[in-house]
Amino acid sequence: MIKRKIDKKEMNYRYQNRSWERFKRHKLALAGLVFLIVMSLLALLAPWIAPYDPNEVAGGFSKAPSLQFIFGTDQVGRDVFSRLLHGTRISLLVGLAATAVSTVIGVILGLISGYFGGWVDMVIMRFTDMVMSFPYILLVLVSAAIFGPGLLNIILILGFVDWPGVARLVRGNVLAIRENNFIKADLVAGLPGKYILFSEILPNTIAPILIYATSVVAISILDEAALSFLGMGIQPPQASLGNMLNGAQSLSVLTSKPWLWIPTGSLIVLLVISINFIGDALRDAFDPSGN
Amino acid sequence: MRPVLEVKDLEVAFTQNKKEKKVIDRVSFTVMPGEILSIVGESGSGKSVSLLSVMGLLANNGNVVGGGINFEGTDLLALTERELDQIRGNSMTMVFQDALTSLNPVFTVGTQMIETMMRHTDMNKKQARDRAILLLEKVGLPNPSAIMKKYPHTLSGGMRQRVMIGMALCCNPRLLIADEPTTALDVTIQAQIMELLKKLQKEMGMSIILITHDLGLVAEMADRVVVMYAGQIVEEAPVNELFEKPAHPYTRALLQSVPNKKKDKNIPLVSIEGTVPENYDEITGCRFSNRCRYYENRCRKEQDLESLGEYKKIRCWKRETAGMMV
Repeated sequence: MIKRKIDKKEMNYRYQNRSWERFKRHKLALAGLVFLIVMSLLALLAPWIAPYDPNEVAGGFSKAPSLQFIFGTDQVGRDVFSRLLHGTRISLLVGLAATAVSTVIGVILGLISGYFGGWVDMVIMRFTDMVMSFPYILLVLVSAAIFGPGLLNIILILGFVDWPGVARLVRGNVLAIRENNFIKADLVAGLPGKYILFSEILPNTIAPILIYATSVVAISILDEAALSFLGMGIQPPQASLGNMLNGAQSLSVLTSKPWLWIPTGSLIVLLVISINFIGDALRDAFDPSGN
Repeated sequence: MRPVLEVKDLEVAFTQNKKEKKVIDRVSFTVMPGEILSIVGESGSGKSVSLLSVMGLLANNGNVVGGGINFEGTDLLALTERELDQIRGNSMTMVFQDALTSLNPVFTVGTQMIETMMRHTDMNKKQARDRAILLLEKVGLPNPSAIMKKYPHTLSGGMRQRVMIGMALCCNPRLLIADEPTTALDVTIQAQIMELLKKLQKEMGMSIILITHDLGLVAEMADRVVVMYAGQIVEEAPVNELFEKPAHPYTRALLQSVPNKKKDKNIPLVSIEGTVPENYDEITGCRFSNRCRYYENRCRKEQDLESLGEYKKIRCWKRETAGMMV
């Protein structure tokens, strides 16, 4: 008799393999992933890769790209390429950190709301509606004005404004999962509510959370750019993708000094698009029914 | 002998649109150690609700409004959720009808069993693991250590129900409530699961409450039968007596609607006409009266569940002649 033994490692491997197969089918996502990895590495290694100190005046004002400064210099003579690397670092950091903050808040509120229901659910969901109904950019601007700009504040502000979507998503999932027999079985087995909520329900809703989070990362990067562009975000001299565009507000810069905004603008677009493609592919990869 | 479970005059009401609707009306039954009690009745007769209230699993809008539930001398209704958790899964446990969704899809069978055991006993992981393998073997699963590593979706329905039973047994419960444990399974698997339950019940000396509407199962398994209709118990009898001399017209109708190999295949199966009335809590008198073949005027008067002989109880005005009605 031929006996086939499948151990846990192999089974996990198979599942991951299938997901990876599905992910790979999205060529754009694959390209996005490669781009994102390269950019993250460049950003991480910025202090060692960057040819110049991003905040030091290195050459003449607004010099066009040359061999010495591959993306030229900005209005005060800093190297655009070096600033770009450091800016990407900040932008990715803001994107990830703000998403982490908003996901944690959203997941906790969504879990509580969906699991306990009743008036708790009512209060949390109405509060969520309230936050959602504020004009988003205005809310961010006002908070930035109140709490002041700066890296940490930006992360916290974006984190505290972005959570309602996650909360609703998680709540909806919990409502569905809660009705499953295995939750009843847990209750019957005498498992405490906290355990059921975090160790039984939460793992079942990880996939949608992760997919949603990718879009939040993209949105957060855009928001940071918008805020910094308006001067309410990361403060100079510290570079961020947003405040690098800040200098490109005048028409003369836009038309005659494209090196000041094309690399930065393209980078934002590419980062956001890559992340969104990855999110799309993740959704398919996680969906066990999708072939 | 002290009964394992004693339910006395249990009344359960659901609140809907601020109106209270009583769905369980003065239900009493006891389960002795080592006994298999079966509760039968149509859908909506209140079998599941009664047992869910025993487990403390009523939906948010459901409340026990009267009576008492006593488990081995403890009043379950007086316990806090935390105290109840000590009993649930430990000495009293439940197996659900839909085995396919009874296991958490994101964890392996082993993880789930070990977790439950470590919660209730002071076993370490290794001991819990060994015991889980032992239990899986006990419920007749081949190659238990391989099954421990499997995710639920890779198991068949019958295997999953076996796993569920194995999990239910992890802390040597004294009472197992099986809520239609075989409805989602095909017939051969049904028989196997029932055999298994009966075997385990003998080995471990636990009591079982079997909720079902399959009278075939009842005949096979039960020691005593409680027949419920519209939130009330209409008849209670030892299993032989119930099948030989069904007393309540409803019980009789139920028995007649069971397909029988001996019956002429050309005669259509008898069914009970109509359905369980909707607002049955508003009916005075016999709740079965609108579907009863033996309906008389006196059936409109309220009647109680009364003893008939030593072991038998019946709720019908015609109980004196009960055995003789045709």
